[in-house]
Parts: sequence; structure tokens; C-alpha cells
Amino acid sequence: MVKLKDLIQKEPIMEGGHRMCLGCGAPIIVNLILRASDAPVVLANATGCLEVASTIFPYTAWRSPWIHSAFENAAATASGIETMYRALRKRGKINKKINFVAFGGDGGTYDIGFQSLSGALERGHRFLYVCYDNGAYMNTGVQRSSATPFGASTTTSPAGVVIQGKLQKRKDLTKIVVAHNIPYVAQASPHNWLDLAKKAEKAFSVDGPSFLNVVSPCPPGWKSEAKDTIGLSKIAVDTCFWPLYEVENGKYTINYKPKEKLPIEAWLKPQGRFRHLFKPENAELLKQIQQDIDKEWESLQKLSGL
Amino acid sequence: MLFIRRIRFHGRGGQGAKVASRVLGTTAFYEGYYAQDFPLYGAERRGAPITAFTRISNEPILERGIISEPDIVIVIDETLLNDPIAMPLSGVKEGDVVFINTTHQPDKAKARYKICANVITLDLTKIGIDMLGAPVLSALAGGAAARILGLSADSLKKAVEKEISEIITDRALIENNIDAALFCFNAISPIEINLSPHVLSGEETTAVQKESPVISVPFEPALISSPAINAKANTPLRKTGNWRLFKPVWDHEKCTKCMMCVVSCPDGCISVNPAGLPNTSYDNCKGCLICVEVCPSEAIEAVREVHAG
Ligand SMILES: Cc1ncc(C[n+]2csc(CCOP(=O)(O)OP(=O)(O)O)c2C)c(N)n1
Ligand code: SF4
Ligand SMILES: [Mg+2]
Repeated sequence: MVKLKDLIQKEPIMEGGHRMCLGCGAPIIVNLILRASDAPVVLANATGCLEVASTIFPYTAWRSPWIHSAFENAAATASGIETMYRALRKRGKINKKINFVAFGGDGGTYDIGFQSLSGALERGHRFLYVCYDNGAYMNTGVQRSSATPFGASTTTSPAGVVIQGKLQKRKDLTKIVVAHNIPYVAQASPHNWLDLAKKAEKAFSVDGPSFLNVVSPCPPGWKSEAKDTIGLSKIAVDTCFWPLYEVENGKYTINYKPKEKLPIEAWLKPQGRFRHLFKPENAELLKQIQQDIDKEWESLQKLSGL
Repeated sequence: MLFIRRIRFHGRGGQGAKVASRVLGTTAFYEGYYAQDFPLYGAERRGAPITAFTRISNEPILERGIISEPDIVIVIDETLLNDPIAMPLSGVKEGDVVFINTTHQPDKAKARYKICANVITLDLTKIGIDMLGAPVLSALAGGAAARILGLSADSLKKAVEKEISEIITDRALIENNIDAALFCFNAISPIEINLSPHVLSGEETTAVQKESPVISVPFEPALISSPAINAKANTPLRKTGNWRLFKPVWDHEKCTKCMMCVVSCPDGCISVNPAGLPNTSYDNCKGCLICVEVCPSEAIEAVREVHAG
């Protein structure tokens, strides 16, 4: 069972001095997950903010072996490492447990790295894939991805006179991963450290692939305040924009049910990327967003037998 | 005869190095020269060292890419002179000019930073704060550079007007920027610049330009183009603490040891002391203030950072 006391005794695997932005959610997620590991870790990282800003030559923020090869193949890189580990183990050259973790942003996971992720999940490698979902290609200056929420203004879906932000709805990647029938899939948020650490612990304990999709506030991309990162991720959960749930061998469980589901405005308002939605002429869009959230929340409750 | 000057600006994100290089390029353009200017950000974010470049010539400029052998270097942030990554003095030769924004006199600065080139100094930060209310130094550094290059005050005025009004709309602030640029322009007494021979020999440079308009970049072996770092977490050596505007300060009397701050720090710099109380490393704390927000006991206060000197 995860204990906060034990977690914080461990040194962070991702050290300070990295050049992620002020208040970036990604390193919080990374350190929580890695602190929950029961064994040493070997890491693969897709191209993106986390990779770029953590390893500016000749410096590295990582305390553990870490490999970056390209944008689209973090899962393939992790599968390769895990395969080598199994081979060495068979030959008796290694016998301790090592955990393998791949990190990718939403661009590197939902979009360009999706094929290699799907392949690695299907092959059944024992590794954890973590997507830190900040809802756009942030490292290159906020371009829309298939994780960008409907209505969000990005540089490639800019709100103006012609469109009101992104015209399409997000892809439900967590459920697509569930469809791979792997042992453990979950959605989590950095504000709920206990839930996130427990999920990481479970993920590390299964003998096969596991996947965590974690909402990751990005102050410059979301046009939010650095200090609000944890508060915003809590609101994402309390509005059911980002429900906390897990799927163990196909069985859905909702891990947290807000006592009072907040209206979606509570999530949209503090973020500049949704500012245009509050113009009177966009009232219909707001309604539509709320309806979509309600529908998805209902369907998730059904899936978990509620 | 061909005249070409290569100028490199060094600053930190937000100080105005990029716009300074534009101001200089535009000033030269108004003066009838060909000009080129561009910034280089690298992988770094806010507060990090940035470099910007300007090339000026009386003929079309065929050279491309970063300037590794500048004739003039403009150092907008003095702390960069000790930064092993920014290395503002790299490629500087005897006879070149290094301008430094500092309170030191030129000879002092020259000795202190062991500079072989001519050194010119001016306290841009103070001028910025006095005349603009903030150390945003683009127009000021551009003004100093224009003087060093022997460009005219008139062209500078026009260039600042154009470049600054692309960023801000407040008329009074634009005027203040023009005044500040001219102030810096006039504050520098023109010194005799003895640029190194390789820049002066016009024919030679022309020949190089005409012969190979395309500069070929040599192939890099994999160890250089995708290097391995064989160190363990050495980023704490990079002091991201200088990004901070506010610092979190703990009142340990109020702390209930809930550890929310420790698990919520993006920079992994809050650790627990032997008494079980949280402390942060100010070397690396960027001042995001997430800890102040998440502390349920209001035990952490945001205190305005005052940088010494
Ligand atoms: C094949 C390829 N295409 C494009 C890029 C440029 N690129 C680097 S990072 C990045 C965005 C990454 O977005 P995401 O995966 O969401 O991570 P984030 O930066 O948001 O953390 C892009 C497009 C690249 N490195 N490789
Ligand atoms: S751009 Fe966003 S995701 Fe990238 S480092 Fe900055 S806050 Fe983090
Ligand atoms: Mg992203």
C-alpha cells in the first residue's frame, strides 16, 4: 500500500534544474509515478517538452537510465529495452526486477506514436506507458492534436471570426487502449497524489502492458496561471472533464465520484484558450460541451456497472 | 569595397535581445545597408539565455546561419559572461568590440572577464528602470549597438518607432523607448574601433561570398549529433532559481507535515528535513508558487524576490 511518507523519502527521479516551464504539470506526474515504483526504472521518452527540457546537453535531469530516440517510437523503444531485459534474464545475466516506463505527450501518444504504442500493447511487453496529456503539441508552440478539447484555441485552430477554436471532439484514447485488452489501464490527475501513486503501483505490479493517461496542465498552452496547475487538474476531475477511473482486465471502476459535479464553465473559465467561448454568441457551444460531458460521464458510469 | 559586420546579442528570455537585434538591423536598413536579423532560442524556456544575430552589409548578404565569429558582441545580461552554455565571448578576437550592460567601467570589466577585445560598458538596466520603469532593454541595447556601428541617430529613431510599435501600442511607452534608445546612443562616446583584419579585407570576404553562396554544413558523427550524457541528474547545477520573481517561504510552526507541497513541486526541489519539515532548494525553485496554493494550512508565503546587485 502506498504511503506518502515512503514516497517522499525517495529522491525524485527527475531532478530540479530542468527547463520545463514555470508550473508545468508534467514533472509532477513523472516524479509521483516513478516514486511509486517498487524497482529501479529504465525510461524511454518520446520527443516533446518533457524530453527536450529535461536533457539539454550536457545536462540531464534524470537519475535513471533514459533513452530518447524519436517522436513516434517511445513505446517501440521501451519494448526493445524490455525484450533485451528478458533475453538477459533468460541467460542468467540479470535477475532483479526492473520496471520499464515510456513517457509521451499527447501528440506523441494519441497521434504520431499511436501505431508503435498499439503494437507494443498487442505484443504484450511488460512496461508502463504514461501519456502526460496537455492537450496540444506544446513544445513546438501549441498546435492542435487529437487530444485537444473541442473549442480550444490553438495556433492551428485559432479562435477568431471564422472558427471558435477546435472544431472536432477529442479522441478517447483511454478507451482505445482498453480495447487492446491489456491488464491495466487508468486515467489519473496530478492533484490526487494517492490515486495516481496507487495506479502507478498497480501498473508496476502487472505482468504485461499497462497504460496511464494523466491530465497535465500547461500554463503557456492553456493560458493559465502557473500556480493554478494543481487546482486546475482538480477542477478537470470535479467537472468530469477528466474522470478518474481504471480498467483492470476489462473491468471498469470509477475511482472518484464528485459529490457535486461542477458545471463545465468552472473548468473552461480559468483557461485563456477557452476565453472566446464566453462571448454571448457562443452560448450554444458551451451548452453543447456540457451535454457531451454529461453523456460521456453517464456512459462511463454504465460501463462501471453503476 | 565590401563592408560587412556581424553582431551577436546575448540576453535572457524577456530582456529584449531579439528585438534589439531587429532594432539594429532596421536602423542599418534605413541607413541604406542590407541587413539580416534573427534569434536563436534553443530548447530553453523562460529566463534562459538567448542569442540573436544581426548582419549588416553594403552588398546583398549571402551568409546564413549563426554567427560564430562576431565583430561586435552585445551582452545584455552580465551574468551570462560566467555561463558555460551561453558563452557570449566565444569567437571574440582582439580588435573586436564587446559591449556589456554593467555598472563597471570598461577597464574593470575587461580585466574581470579577461576580455581580449575592446570593451564598452553602460548600465542599461538602470537606464531602463529610470526611463521605462522596467528592465526591458531592446531599444536601449539597439541604440548602443547602432552607435558602436556608426549609424545615425535619425535612422535609430525611425527603427525604434517601427519595431517597438509592433509589440506595444501604448504611445507614451513607445516615445519613452525612443528617448531611452537615443540616450544610450549618446551616452557612448565613439571609440576607435580596430576590427580584426579578417573583417576588414573586403575583397577576401567578397570572394568567399561569390564563390560559394551555399555554405555546406559538415556531416556530424552520431556521437556528436545524438550524444549520450553519462551523468546522473546533473541539471541541479543549472540554477533555475534565477527565474524566480517570488519565493515560497515556510512557516514551520503552521506546517502540519501533510507533504502536499513535496508531491506537487514540478521542480522536485522540496525535500523533508530530519525534523520532518519541508524545505525547498532556492537554487532550483523557479517560483511557480504551486506549493503556496496547495498548502491547506497556509504555512507557505510568497515573498517578493530581491536580486542582489
Ligand atoms: C517526426 C517528427 N515530427 C515533428 C517533430 C517536431 N516536434 C517536436 S516536439 C513536438 C510536439 C510534441 O507534442 P506532444 O507530444 O503533445 O508533447 P508536448 O510538447 O506537448 O509535451 C513536435 C511536433 C519531431 N521532433 N519529429
Ligand atoms: S510548454 Fe507546457 S508542457 Fe511544455 S514545458 Fe511548458 S508548461 Fe510544460
Ligand atoms: Mg502535448
